[in-house]
Amino acid sequence: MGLVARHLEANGIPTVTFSCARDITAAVRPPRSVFLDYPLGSTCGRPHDPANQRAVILTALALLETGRTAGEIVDLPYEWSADERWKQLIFSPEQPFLSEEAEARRQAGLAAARQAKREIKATSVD
Amino acid sequence: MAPPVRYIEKTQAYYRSVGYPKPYKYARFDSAPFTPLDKPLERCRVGLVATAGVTLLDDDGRPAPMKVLGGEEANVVEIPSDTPVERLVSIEEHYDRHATTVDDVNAFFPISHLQALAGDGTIGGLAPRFQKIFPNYSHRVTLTRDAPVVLAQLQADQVDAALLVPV
Repeated sequence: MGLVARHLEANGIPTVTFSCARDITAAVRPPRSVFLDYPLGSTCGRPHDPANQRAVILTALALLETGRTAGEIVDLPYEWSADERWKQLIFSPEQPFLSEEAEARRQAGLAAARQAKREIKATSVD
Repeated sequence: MAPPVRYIEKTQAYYRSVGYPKPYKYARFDSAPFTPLDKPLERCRVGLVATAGVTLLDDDGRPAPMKVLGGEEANVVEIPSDTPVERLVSIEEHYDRHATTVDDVNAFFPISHLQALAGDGTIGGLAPRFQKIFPNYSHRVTLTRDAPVVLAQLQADQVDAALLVPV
């Protein structure tokens, strides 16, 4: 998503990117970002907490208006939970990232993409 | 407060451990392009672009079929910005399903909040359509195929600024 932000910005459209993965955002360096230290999937605030979501969005909009530094990341002050065990469990053996079903679908998609690529190559050789 | 999760390290270690030989190469840049916003928000038309798995329900209440990562076909889907949130549903799988939930669409596709902010004049208005992009492993595909489609749509809709939300 950072790549898309950079493309839009380079072509004259100001952007602000939301992030729950600070290291990835810092590497890709979108023009402006707000970092929320929540689990992946809750990028714009806590589910079923409209006040929290609204606060996140207003911070992003404010950065859009006031930001002057390319690549700036604003760290939001909200904490997901007092117990931060969710961070330790990410990508651990007891918590595979995708369900078995989702992983199977992902593998099937990759296989289909590889197959399509092979077919394109085969046709262009002819 | 524990420091932020180091996803790059963790994903690379995880995929190595399940037998992928080559680590995924995250994009890395030393600088960023920058375009200042040249008017106040209350006069801006705002767009929303997301990679989150959100999809429109059809008239029978069925979600559009799911696409899978890595496909070669065009990957940008339009969602009218006046869509009531009840007509949207999450089909996201790439999220932390152990820690959170995706049953509140506004927590990753904040359409109701943007409708409200346009309604009360905080922002000038909304792009007529929002965009959902299917993530792709290939940076080249994202940059040469999907990003130009999004740019063309935002330019055609005269969007002044865009919010971008990854999963």
